[in-house]
Amino acid sequence: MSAKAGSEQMERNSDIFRLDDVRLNRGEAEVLRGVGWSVPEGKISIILGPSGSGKTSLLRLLNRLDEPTSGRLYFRGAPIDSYDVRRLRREVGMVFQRPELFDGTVGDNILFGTEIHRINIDLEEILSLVGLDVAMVDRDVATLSGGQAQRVSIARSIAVGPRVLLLDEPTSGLDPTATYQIESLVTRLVGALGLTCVFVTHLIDQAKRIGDTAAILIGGRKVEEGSVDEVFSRPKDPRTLRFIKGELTDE
Amino acid sequence: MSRLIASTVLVAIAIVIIEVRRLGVGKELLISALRSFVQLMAVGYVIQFVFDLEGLPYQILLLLAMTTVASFTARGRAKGVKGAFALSFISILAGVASTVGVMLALGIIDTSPIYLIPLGGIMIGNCMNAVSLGLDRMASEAKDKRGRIEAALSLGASPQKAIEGMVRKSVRASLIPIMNTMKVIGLVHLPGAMTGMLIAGAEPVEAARIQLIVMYMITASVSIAVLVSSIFIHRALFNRAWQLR
Repeated sequence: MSAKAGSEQMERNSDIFRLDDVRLNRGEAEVLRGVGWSVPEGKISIILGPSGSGKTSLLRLLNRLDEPTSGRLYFRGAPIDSYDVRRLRREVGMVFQRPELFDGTVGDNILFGTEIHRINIDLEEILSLVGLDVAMVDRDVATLSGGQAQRVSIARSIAVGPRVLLLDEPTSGLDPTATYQIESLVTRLVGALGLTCVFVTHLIDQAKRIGDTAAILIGGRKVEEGSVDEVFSRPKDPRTLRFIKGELTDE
Repeated sequence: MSRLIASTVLVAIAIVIIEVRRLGVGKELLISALRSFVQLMAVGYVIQFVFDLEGLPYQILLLLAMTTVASFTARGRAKGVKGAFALSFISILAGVASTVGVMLALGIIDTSPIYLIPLGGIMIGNCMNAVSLGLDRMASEAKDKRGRIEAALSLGASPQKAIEGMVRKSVRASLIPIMNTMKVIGLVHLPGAMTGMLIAGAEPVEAARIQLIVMYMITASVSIAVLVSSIFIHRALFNRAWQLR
């Protein structure tokens, strides 16, 4: 699973996102303090770090839900703000920590984005892709379990046919079984659809289970980057080691 | 004048009782009573002055001044909505100007100050209440449902689409008072205009007829004001990159 793909040049060509000295201030607080990072295409890239380290803030920039204070962000080689917002968000889907489903049925939710982009989809196919029964299409979302709701939110995002799926701690409210199911769903989607995933988590074990590459964020700075194997077996930064040992639980 | 003084005595008694019972609103009630006295008397003289001027531009100027004050008040209620003053101003102006325009065009009223100023004032006041109720509701919906709004945006929804359902709710909320008023008008309370006309000695049926015209003008202006503010509210809540402010 590790990303030891060829020469560095080849890796650079297949980067779907590139970040250059990205900073984000929120009032007085420096949330991101100069992050440079490349996200390889077709892999699962993990953003890992203790809570409050800026992981979610970084992820939100990739869907352009927020604007960086300074620095550059490139999507497929072009500045992210050179894309039409609607088109960018169709290509870069986002799954939030909580499912944030709209009032209505499972079907209403999945069709929300496809109606915006005027595309036809096969609802059954999408449902089976995320492991939900076809009969669920008319279920009121208020009656779903946490794991089911999160799957509907994943289905809603992939229904519009994105290249990238951003996931912000999607298993945080779920029990171990549902967590495992979401993890294997994400891995399966990357294989089946050729998706690129950027997955935010604070769980080291989760990063090891599903990640190809990982970036470790501490205090708004990226302190480590590489394949998951490298990051955990040979960390370069002393802060990474402290984080892995569980000494850095909060920032 | 003696009737006025007699009526202040009643308010004074009310304030004294409230103070004695330590209900805590005596001071506020006193200030409100004094304010209303000063404001109404002053406006009486201003209107007399405008009536004497007899010129349409002066009336329009006075109505614009009233709209400005109303917009400031509406903005105070809509904390967290950027540009709430401008939004309120445009909405109230649109509601009042279009309604007055139609009434003038149909010859139901003419441009004399005895129509324009009181009717304009009553419409502006009602529009102000409706618009500020709507903005307040919208601001709290946007705060509570931030997650859902961003989920919609993240899928490529336009700001209008992302807040569609919330706008519908806030429009409803802002029209509830006027709808309730129309439902019970004449049954639970006699509205101010009609009461005033009856006290001034008008025929009850004629008073009712005028009151209906006033009521419908208020409803029309309020509906238009609320509609306009619902059309432009997304500009106050989102920026050009379709991000929540």
